[in-house]
Amino acid sequence: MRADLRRRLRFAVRTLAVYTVAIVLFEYLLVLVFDTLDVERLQPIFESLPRALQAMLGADAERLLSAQGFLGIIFTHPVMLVLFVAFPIAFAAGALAGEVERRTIALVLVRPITRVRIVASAALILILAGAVLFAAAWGGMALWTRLRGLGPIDLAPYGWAAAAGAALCWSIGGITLLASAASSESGRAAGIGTGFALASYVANYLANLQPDWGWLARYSIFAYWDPQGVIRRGTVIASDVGVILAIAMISMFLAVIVFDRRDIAV
Amino acid sequence: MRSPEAVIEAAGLTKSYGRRRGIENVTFSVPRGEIFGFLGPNGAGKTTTIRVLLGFMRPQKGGARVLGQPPRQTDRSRLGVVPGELSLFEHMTGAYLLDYLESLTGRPAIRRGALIERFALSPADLRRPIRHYSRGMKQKLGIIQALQHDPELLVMDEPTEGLDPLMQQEFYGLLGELRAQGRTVFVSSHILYEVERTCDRVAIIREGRLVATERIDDLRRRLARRVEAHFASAAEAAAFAPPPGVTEEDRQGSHVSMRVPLEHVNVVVRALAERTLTDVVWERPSLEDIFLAYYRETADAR
Repeated sequence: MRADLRRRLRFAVRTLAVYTVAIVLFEYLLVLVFDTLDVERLQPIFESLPRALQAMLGADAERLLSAQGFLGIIFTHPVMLVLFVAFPIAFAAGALAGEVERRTIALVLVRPITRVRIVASAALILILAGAVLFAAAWGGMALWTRLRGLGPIDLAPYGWAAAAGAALCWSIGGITLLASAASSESGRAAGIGTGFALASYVANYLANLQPDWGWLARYSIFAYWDPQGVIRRGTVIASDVGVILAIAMISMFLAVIVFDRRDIAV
Repeated sequence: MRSPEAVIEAAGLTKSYGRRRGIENVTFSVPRGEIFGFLGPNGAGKTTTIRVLLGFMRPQKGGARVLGQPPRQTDRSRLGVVPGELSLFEHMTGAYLLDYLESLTGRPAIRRGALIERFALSPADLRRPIRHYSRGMKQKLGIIQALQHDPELLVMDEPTEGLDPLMQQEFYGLLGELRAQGRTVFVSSHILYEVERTCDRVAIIREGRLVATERIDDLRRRLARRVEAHFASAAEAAAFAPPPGVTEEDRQGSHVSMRVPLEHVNVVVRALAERTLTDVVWERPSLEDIFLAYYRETADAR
């Protein structure tokens, strides 16, 4: 298993590094934006932000005018969300279905490594990737705010939000890995992973936008993450993180079972 | 089903893909030290049989044992495989791929150096990413990765696909050496010349069913000889009537060609001896003749 893990890691590291750098650079832009805001003049503008935009940013106008609240955008900005979930989806889709599609899996399956270990090595990379992406998000924010002299900022809640974000990354990666285990086409697996993430995001957005649609939040994994809520409270809600982690664990476990039992026509 | 000497045993393997035909009741065994050819045209069921033997697929009926164990439990470090429609990790270099597969196998690549030399891959080739390799170079690498750890059993699906004629000869030579070393080889191919040249025994598969499993010599013995008789004159040829049981294939002027079953050889020789001949050509049936005969028989039976 170590050889397979090393191989996957070796070729994932470069892509992961690109995403990590992109996250840190985008954070710099956000810190720069806040640093140049004239809070007093912007207050009325922020208060008049349409509710749809506030729902997207996950915070109300009052919080967006403080550094602590504004910088929470690093977890809710659509560009950042894409940077957080693109790698887990692409990697998980390629790790099993992609190798079946390219037929390279045949070289691995004829060697003394079980299918369980093949899935496990892919899952381990996903877990590592989620941790790295969100550690970079937290670390980047700590770095830029320190360098720009922003503050006072309590970094601990950001750490909790990042930790819960890593769990979200594992869940979306886990769902994609499950689709990848069952499929022979990486495009289909990536489509299912993207569809899950997108539907979940839209459900949460609508739930925040309209009280009548609040019930949708129950079916959105993003509602259980709620990074602005975490930053506001200073800590995570254990049951919410539990839901996200349970989805991650169950999907990865099912991926192992599905891949172990399926026929592979290569 | 089990026999102590068999390295591969398949009993009643049946696998279908929904409506598409796969294989049906495929039964054969390959003893240790044999080079076994698995013959059939594209779509006949060769690859499906290999997929079941390697544990990629579970049969709906029947079972198989490879190296004494069910396919999914086989000690795969004792196995070398050249997959059909070979696909390699294109972003790796050749050297990295061989190292990686050696690590996965868990056995030292004791034959790698000799194989690299034999198949004329240079150190510079091995340092290049595989995506820059030609089709033939990829196939060479496919053969090397299967053999580098000196496996007891080799399973190869169309192994010479993409190799140039020189490298094909090297490969046939290598198979001869493997046979001498007592290795067992299961080779699936639609190239009849290749199987005829390298294999001890063949199985012929048609539309998912085995139609023959025999030594090539035994198959030859069962098939009629093609005999061409060149008579001294057209009149001599006209006077010659093939004995009963012999099929006349062609007659042109002083030349008659016929199919002679082995049991009628003496009768034909005596009949020909009564005439004045300029030449007689007896052809042993090639594997192609055997193969086509089986396919004709099955088609006729339908």
